[in-house]
Amino acid sequence: MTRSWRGPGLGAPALALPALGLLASVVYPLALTAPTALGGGAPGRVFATSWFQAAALHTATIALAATTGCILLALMLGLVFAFLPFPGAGLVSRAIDTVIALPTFLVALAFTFFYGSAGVVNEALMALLHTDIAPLAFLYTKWGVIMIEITVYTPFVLRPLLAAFAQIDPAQLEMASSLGAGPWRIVRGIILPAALPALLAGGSLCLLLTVNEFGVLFFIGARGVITLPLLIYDKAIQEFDYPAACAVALANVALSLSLFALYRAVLRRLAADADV
Amino acid sequence: MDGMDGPRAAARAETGAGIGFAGVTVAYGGAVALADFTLDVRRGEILALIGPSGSGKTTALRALAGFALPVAGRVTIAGRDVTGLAPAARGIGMVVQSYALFPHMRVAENVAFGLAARGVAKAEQRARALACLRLVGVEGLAERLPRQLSGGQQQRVAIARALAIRPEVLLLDEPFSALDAQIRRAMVEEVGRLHAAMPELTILHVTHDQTEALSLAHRIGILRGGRLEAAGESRALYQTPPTRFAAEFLGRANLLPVEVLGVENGAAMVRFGTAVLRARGGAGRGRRLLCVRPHALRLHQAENGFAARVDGVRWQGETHALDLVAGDTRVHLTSSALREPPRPGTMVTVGFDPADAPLLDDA
Amino acid sequence: MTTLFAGRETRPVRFALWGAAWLLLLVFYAGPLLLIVLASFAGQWNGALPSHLTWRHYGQALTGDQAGSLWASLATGMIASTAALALGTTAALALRGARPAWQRIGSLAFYLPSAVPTVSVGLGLLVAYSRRPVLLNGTVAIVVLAHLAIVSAFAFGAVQAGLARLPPEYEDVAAGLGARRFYLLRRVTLPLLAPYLGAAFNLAFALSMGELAATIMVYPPGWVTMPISIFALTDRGDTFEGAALTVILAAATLLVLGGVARVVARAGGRARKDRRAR
Repeated sequence: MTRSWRGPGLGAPALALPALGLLASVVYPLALTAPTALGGGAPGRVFATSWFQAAALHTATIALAATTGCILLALMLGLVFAFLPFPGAGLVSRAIDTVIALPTFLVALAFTFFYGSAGVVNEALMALLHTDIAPLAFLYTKWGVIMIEITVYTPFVLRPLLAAFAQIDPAQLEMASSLGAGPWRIVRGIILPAALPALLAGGSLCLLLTVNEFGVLFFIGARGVITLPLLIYDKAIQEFDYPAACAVALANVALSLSLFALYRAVLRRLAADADV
Repeated sequence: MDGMDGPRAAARAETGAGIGFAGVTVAYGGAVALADFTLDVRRGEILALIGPSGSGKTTALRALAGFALPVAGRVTIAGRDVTGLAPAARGIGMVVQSYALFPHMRVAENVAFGLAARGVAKAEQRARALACLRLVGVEGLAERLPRQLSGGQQQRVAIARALAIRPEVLLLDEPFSALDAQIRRAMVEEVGRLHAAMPELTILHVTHDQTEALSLAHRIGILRGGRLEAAGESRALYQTPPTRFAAEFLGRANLLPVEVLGVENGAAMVRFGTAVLRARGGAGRGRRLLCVRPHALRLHQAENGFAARVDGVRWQGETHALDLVAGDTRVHLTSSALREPPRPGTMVTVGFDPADAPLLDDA
Repeated sequence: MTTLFAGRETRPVRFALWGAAWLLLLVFYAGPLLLIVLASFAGQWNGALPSHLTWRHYGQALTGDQAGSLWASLATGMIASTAALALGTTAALALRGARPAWQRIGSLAFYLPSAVPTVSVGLGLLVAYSRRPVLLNGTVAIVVLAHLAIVSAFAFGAVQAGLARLPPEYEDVAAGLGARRFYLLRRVTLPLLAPYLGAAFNLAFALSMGELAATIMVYPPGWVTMPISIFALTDRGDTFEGAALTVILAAATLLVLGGVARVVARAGGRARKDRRAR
């Protein structure tokens, strides 16, 4: 086979140091998780319990609901930013982008000041309705968690979506509208198909991130809303039951890696489609 | 260690050798991009490689530069075998379509890059960089950044950078295709002028633009599907293309199906429809193709001519283009602008000089 | 860009859509995020809005039990991101010359940790380094290692993406002009890569500054990072101080990100702009 020149690289020996880092920080620790779980006979014991199954169910429903919300919110905001921009829309879109750089629990904390039982919205409503009971109580439930995660992860869909919108040739839209297509028809017929790859890729990334979300749930402390990552913390740090924690971790890692495989498959598929 | 003196010394030892490809085959992951490519370029010669995209012309250039290693064959520069040599050790200057000026270096640093890489002293780097910039007429831009230059200026800097290392060989990889038509013509002339000032420089020019190749190159090689289809001196290749593909790729050509009747007074007698015409000599009988360029056809010439119906007339400013039909064959004719062009639907006679009409095999 | 609903007759639709977008932005972003800033300045807050504003919480957030957190977070973030950038760049450059199959396997190995839940990474480190042969539990090193584990994959991914986007002609021309491997790397490849290296560092640093899940599993008493301090403050009811420390965390993060972006833009980040110009 022909070797062809691919630009200067470092030789294979240079891999030693990064490989060592990977080994020490990830591979060795995770490799020890399995025997710890199996040594205590934990998987069999843990996976059958109602609390594990409830956590698995919560993890899945929250992740799916939040991902759906992210896609819808990103689509709505993206369409406005790209095709119906108001003055300052670019600035707002960049401001949302910086949310990616902020920790997820920051948003959770922010939500408690806005929607919490003593938050601005509830205080205002209580004054308005002359009542002492906070009317909005969704924040400390599954729905509150979902709404916060939507805020946190929407930029991960919005960013590729806006990039995809920018690729659409304006002439195509002008052509369609001069041929008599109304705005809704243009959105359905031209814009959405062009944005589908970005939505799929951003959505599957969202799913992966929401399944593993910890900070939001930890800060909100919603009663009865325990997900797999939270369960790992509870078992290990609160109950010192390491075999059980490791068993849950194995399940969580397995779920996460399958979602990662899905994400990569989506990306590969889209890249292959783009080549044709 | 591999300074500019190495290759130059070797060149002196084997005067006349510029670039040699001997049976070079390059494959990418099983697909053969260049097959058994053999071609010699004399020292000081400008050779253009042309061909449609995917024909292997860029692969040939990459094999010469060392970016693609052949699975078979030998590549030589100035008689020195460089087949297995790293790109850095070959002493080649390169100008690419995107210019690839290093955006983080000033113009003078860009031009001095190859000298700096060879460890030439700072002061000499600077002097030689400025001299090269002067050579291409942009010495005033030395302290600019590439992004502050126009396309044509970037192109000149790229050429100066390639020449600064005093290369044995200059590779031009579609260097003019990003330029406007007017600047492109000026740059082609500029390269011609530079070569006249450096007659020992061997230039390999890869392009898909046949006009560019014809106006710059001494010789032309035509590639097709990874193989060398034809090669020869530019004018000869244009006037007597050896194959149908060469005729159609290098300039426009009318290829008339004819039957060769025999030879008479050094000219071939051929039958085209009902007309008997004289063509450029050559042996063989049977069915051949008569190749005549659109501008070699003369309107209203009965001598060595045939009848055709006018199908379309297009005025193109300096010229008229006529679409004609003779029998089942479409024929294109261009002439300088006509005062009274024939009207579509009328019959005309067109003729040609037998010397302008070689015979080809129909393949 | 083309504007849909541009005509006069669709004006009501346009305003309805803008209204909906503004409402969503308020409900999801502007409201909560402005409130956390307001809360960090709140003197007393019994009604809908605070009665007066004060800097007090910032003073307390930087002096109380959590005085060392800013330092702990910045130090951890800097060390982990710098190491992640160095290792990620080395790995990406080393894999570059490898055969395609090895390149795929290597890339996957270095990128896969980005998909591992961070709590599990923390748990794994806790389990692995609480026993022989290597005892790290209770040290600062285990916190740095946790952050390295989490941010390395992202740094690697960002550098590799940058390498893939580098137009090959620059290196081809440089090699043709006689630049050998390390000279070429130093003078051409790395400067062209600078914007991506900056982005890789920034991504790693932002992730490290906000890291909570793995840190909470492994942190020793003397090395409490800001996210953990913020949780401790809010957990015991000092929510305004928590808000103040959160604002400090966000500001410190964005300040470092902005600084790196500026340095990169000045040093070698002209490549992209240059290409766009054509």
